[in-house]
Amino acid sequence: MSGHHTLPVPGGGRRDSGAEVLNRAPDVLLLLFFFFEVALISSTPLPGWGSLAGYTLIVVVLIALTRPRLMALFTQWLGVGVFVALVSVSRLLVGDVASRQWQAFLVRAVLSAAFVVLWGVAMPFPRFVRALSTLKVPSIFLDVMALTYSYLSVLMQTADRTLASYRLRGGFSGWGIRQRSLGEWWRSVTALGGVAGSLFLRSLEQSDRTYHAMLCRGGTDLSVTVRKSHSDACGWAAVLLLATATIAARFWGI
Amino acid sequence: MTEAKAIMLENVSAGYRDGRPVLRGLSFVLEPGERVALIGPTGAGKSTLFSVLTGLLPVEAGRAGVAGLALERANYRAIRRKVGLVFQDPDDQLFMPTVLDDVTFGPLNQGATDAQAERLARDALQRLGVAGLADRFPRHLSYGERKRVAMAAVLCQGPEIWLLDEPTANLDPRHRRLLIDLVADLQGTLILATHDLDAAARLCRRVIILNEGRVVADGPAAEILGDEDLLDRAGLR
Repeated sequence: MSGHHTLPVPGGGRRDSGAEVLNRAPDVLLLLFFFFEVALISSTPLPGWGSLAGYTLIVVVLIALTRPRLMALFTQWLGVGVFVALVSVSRLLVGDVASRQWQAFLVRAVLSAAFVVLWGVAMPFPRFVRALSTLKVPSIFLDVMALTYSYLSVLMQTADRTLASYRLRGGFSGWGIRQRSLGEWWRSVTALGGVAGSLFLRSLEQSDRTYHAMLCRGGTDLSVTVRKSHSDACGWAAVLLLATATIAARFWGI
Repeated sequence: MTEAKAIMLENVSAGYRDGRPVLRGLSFVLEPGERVALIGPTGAGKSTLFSVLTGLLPVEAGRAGVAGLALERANYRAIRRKVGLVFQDPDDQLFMPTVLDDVTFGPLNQGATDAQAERLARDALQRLGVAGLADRFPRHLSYGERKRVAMAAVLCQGPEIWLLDEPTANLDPRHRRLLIDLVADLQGTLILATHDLDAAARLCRRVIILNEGRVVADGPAAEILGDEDLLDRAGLR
């Protein structure tokens, strides 16, 4: 989620990266932008080789967004613009629908994964939840999302620490069977099973303690939600604009 | 039975669901406004006692009262409105996507409006010196910041009784000092579970030593913390 970076530019000063530019967009606008792109991806017909090349460029742009030192050029906000444009026009690049099922599957899988990366870089989770709140998404869904996110965060941190401890004591260092005897390899696999089990138990204990923290602060199983609407004129204008654009795009079959 | 007492325990026993007993015949009384340090070795039952006092673990035997209410299921919600428990690990306590969401959780559950809850939360964050973190994801904060946010989350509920579980644990000297200053300013009855004997001496006039679920000493802080033999026997030195 740490996609905040600026790039040094000749002549001093700093130029914002694509992710920085996105991060300054109004929450709702950004959210709807993402939804719009998801809709386009999911409704994109099977692509031809030309659009495959385009998708490859998208992935390059996304890698650049997350690894700015590698390809600083692409981290300018225009990189994001290229992404948007490519996804948007890919619908026009229709290939041979019948013969490229595997290609479509692959492209959509890659595109979806890349899209998630872009999302993670450009829109931190709290802002995402706040934007959903502005769009009046029922708070029970937002609560579940927020708690799931917190839980996953705990799980990942605990997994990191557990695996670090495991590795530091000579545990798993790769799947290569040549580097060790079969017995050692098997011991590693079974130990990893133990790590996974203990991780599960620890996450259960932690969730129990978090639940207790909720109870102590007046929460119940049907706890009240705490999110407030952060509506602003800009946000609502963005809603109207993008809703209109989506309807128009559907109407004209774009 | 519990009138005018902040906390009243009489031969209280409690344990975990697996049947492991932790508290064994615990008895003591706290007057309103009293500040007590609860010290004892790891596993003595300090955190378990806090779970019992907030109704997270049931009393298995004996009688108990908190804030004038009998400690029984029917009163748990009312008791939790009066008692503020700050967990040892702030990661257990903070669960919402932003600091502000987390701190407003308690007041909203107490019936505050959105505006009131936000005002209370911002005041509490201000007092704890973390007002600038309101929109941050709690897990991205430093440990000291999370500790203060966890305190703010309880502070804005205005508890009558504070239960602080190892508030200075794992803090660097500067944050430890800050936190001790903050605790010194808190109003109301306070139980401070800690291994930090200096903090106990500074913040509390009374000390209770817990060992293996039993009270082994209860008296003025100066007297108990000055008894080296007693501290040795209790595994605190």
